[in-house]
Amino acid sequence: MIIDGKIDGKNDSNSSSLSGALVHADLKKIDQIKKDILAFEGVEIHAVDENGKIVITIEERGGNKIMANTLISIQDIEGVYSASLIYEYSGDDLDE
Amino acid sequence: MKLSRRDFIKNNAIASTAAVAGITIPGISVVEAGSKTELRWDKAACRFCGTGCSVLVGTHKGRVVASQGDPDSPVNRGLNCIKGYFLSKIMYGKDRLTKPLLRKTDGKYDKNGKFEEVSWDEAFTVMADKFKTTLKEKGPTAVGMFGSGQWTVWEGYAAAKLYKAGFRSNNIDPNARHCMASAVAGFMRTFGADEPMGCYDDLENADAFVLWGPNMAEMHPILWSRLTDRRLTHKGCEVHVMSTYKHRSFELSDNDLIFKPQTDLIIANYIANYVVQNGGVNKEFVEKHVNLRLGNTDIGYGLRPEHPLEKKAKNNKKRKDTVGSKPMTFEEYTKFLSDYDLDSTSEKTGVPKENLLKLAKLFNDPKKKITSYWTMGMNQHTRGTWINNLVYNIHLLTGKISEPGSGPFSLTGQPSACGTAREVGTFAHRLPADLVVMKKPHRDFSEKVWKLPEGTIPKKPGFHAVLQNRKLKDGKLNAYWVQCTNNMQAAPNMNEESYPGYRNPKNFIVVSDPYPTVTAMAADLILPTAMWTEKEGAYGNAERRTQFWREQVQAPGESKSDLWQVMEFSKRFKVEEVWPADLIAKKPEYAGKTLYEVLYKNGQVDKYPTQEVKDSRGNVYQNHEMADFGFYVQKGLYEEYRIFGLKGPKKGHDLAEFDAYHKSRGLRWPVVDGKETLWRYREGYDPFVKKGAGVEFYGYKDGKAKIFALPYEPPAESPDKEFDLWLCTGRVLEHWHSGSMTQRVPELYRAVPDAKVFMHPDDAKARKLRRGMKAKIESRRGFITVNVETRGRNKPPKGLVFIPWFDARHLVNKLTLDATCPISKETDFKKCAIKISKA
Repeated sequence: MIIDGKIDGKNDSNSSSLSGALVHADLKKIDQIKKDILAFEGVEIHAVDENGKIVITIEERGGNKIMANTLISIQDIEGVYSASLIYEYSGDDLDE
Repeated sequence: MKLSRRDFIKNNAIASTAAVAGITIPGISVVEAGSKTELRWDKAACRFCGTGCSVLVGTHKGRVVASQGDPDSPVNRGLNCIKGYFLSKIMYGKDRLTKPLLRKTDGKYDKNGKFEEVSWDEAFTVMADKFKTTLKEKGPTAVGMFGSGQWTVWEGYAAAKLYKAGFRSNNIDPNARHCMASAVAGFMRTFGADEPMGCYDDLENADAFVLWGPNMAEMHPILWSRLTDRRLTHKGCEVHVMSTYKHRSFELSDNDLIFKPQTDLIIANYIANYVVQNGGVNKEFVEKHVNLRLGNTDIGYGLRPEHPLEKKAKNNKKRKDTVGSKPMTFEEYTKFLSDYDLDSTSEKTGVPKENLLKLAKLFNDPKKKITSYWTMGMNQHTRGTWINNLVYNIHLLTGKISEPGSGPFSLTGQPSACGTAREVGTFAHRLPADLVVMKKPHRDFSEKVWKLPEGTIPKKPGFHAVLQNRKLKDGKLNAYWVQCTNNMQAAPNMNEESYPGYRNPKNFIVVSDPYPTVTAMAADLILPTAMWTEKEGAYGNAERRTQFWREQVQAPGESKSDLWQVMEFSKRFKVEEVWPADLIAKKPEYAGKTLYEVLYKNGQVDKYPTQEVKDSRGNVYQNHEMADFGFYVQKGLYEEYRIFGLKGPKKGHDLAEFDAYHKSRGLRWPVVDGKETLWRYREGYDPFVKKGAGVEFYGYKDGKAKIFALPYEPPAESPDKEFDLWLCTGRVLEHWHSGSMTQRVPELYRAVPDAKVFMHPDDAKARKLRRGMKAKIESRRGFITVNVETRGRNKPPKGLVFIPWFDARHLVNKLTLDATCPISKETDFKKCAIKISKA
């Protein structure tokens, strides 16, 4: 009888994103956490400090839309307190 | 070496992230403007939750392409949550509306017709005709509006003014009614003034945090990261987490309290009882700053009057009985509390004694600074006002309030639930700055500020959110405008109330939205709307911080801001068409004028001429409303609104002048002599506290807050033999509220496309269900079909299931019951009875 939404996640974007994120992790588990993070496609670690703060980038190539899932999955790694996005760029002109 | 655009952007991503972490990486630094990145950066408040993070918005060739946590923001300090990622994409969904759409058959408006593109002129002509006919035939109570805690400050102000002053109808209410009305009613009842006394700086000053239900890890991730920092770096810091099911926030918990639905009332009274019995009461504080009241009970459930529960209840017929109370002594209060002992509390709540005791002992320790947080669990509650009162009781008894690190703090879910819905007063009973329509002096003051004849504003409160849908269904509310919210999806009991209300042939429904939401599709006229940084805006966050932003990009097609729509529509009405002759006779100079001239071109709102909007770096920004109306609309509305805080009958609502907010990262009111207030009611922080008073709860004339003795009363609907499970609805990290914006981000849609039912594996097994199978979820009001999740992030105990409400294809509000707190009128979305079977 009733309407339901027809959302299908469509968006005007063939673009790729490049983002910087800060991960706050349990120091006691840091080696494993680093390994787990690096296992994700497009992810690089740029710095780790003595408080367990890790600077990473997540790069999409060719519109593969991995960024959101990657950040959510990093948040789910055991020993990760938080994964916060700091910088995000999204466009189809990254490789110009 | 030639660096590509990718290299530049990446370098900046690393440098910005490292800077926020306080880490130096050799050879990496932020490349300044004018370089290859070519982005124009400007600040804006985030479009999503009530935290009020500031983001830097990167624009390139007229399009928002990047965002960055604002390193200069005192709220988020350069951090962004995953939703920050959505920000640059929410405006670019493929199905963005660009033209007004009217239901038509054979070229004419027809309620049962198909949506066709029309001009703004045709849209407003049909709409004005419907409003005028309704006003003429049935009067002001038959027109109404449903607004939003996502409206900018001036949009809410302009809309409230159009309805309360222009149409003389108080039937305007915001979606914040579903969200924090119980916190409002609680604050007003206990302190005589709305909104928290503390601020986010409590996060760095508390020794312990008590979560009364909220899943901050998912819903307020930035505040959660600040809380996590404090927990990990401050010795002895504790986190106590209460909820009806286990969720992500329990990962940081030092004390888990999973309680049976509704029994938070018992836990709060038990803690009060414990501190009274064990020396935790700050006697001097209570004596000087608190009055004790015994509240009326048996107040009903806010259902339709013919419901058996309402017929049975005693104190639900008159407002004064529902909110009524009488004085009591401390001895009487002590006796009242004595029922709430450890044994019975543990038995009734299902929380082990050791966990209850641990929480009670925390509050009993005079040295501990404690901040309480809550969101929808306490607010969406048939005793929502009560549970808010009961938590304030504990903070008042122990004196743990209005000081760094201590206090009760209600978190908000919308970006301007405080700034617009509450402060501007877009509720059916309110006026700006804590004023209410029921009080003559408040109406008089408002009419004076607005240059209106005495008696313009009606004194009877209008229809609140849930009542609006009932009145639509009953054919009593006939011309109705929804802006900036998706209430068909959000409101309770969709099958029996909302949908029949919108589709009632007697009614004309207008929905303004950027997207074809469930609500828009149920309307008769859809108006395409400019969103977020497509207009100049202002939001007020949960800690009383007002933040401004400039228009960054142009809205697509013919989309117009809510502000433009309200003001432009007001031009269609002559005073004679909406006001009676005797009212106009009191201000004969208004005869023949339009509502636009009376309300907005009143010599006050149109005081500031058009000007160039420029930032400190010399970038120039557009302002479409200024261009169209010929004056600085946002500034004029804001400066008129500001008079209510500066000169109104309720003190302590002072705001800074307009330009100050464009220059700052927001300011927390009251702002006096350019200085913001971090902790209200405390001398040394709050300029309104009398010298030597120490603490003064000046919301009440005697400067005292009220402790209310209020008991446990059962929910409106509980599981029984047939409908044998509790249903709790709520949110998820990845989608914001009804998902109308975040479901249009392809990555997120792919990550979390569908709502699931989170349930205990044993409950699933007993119904021959396994993870991933389709289940039919049924209540007395309807059913939906969703997949089963037994291993996800939410882990309900046996007997309770959780379903999020973001999913437009699985509308959980077909199941919920429209029972509300009888005082705040906020729906209990956390408790109704359902059954589950194999689909």
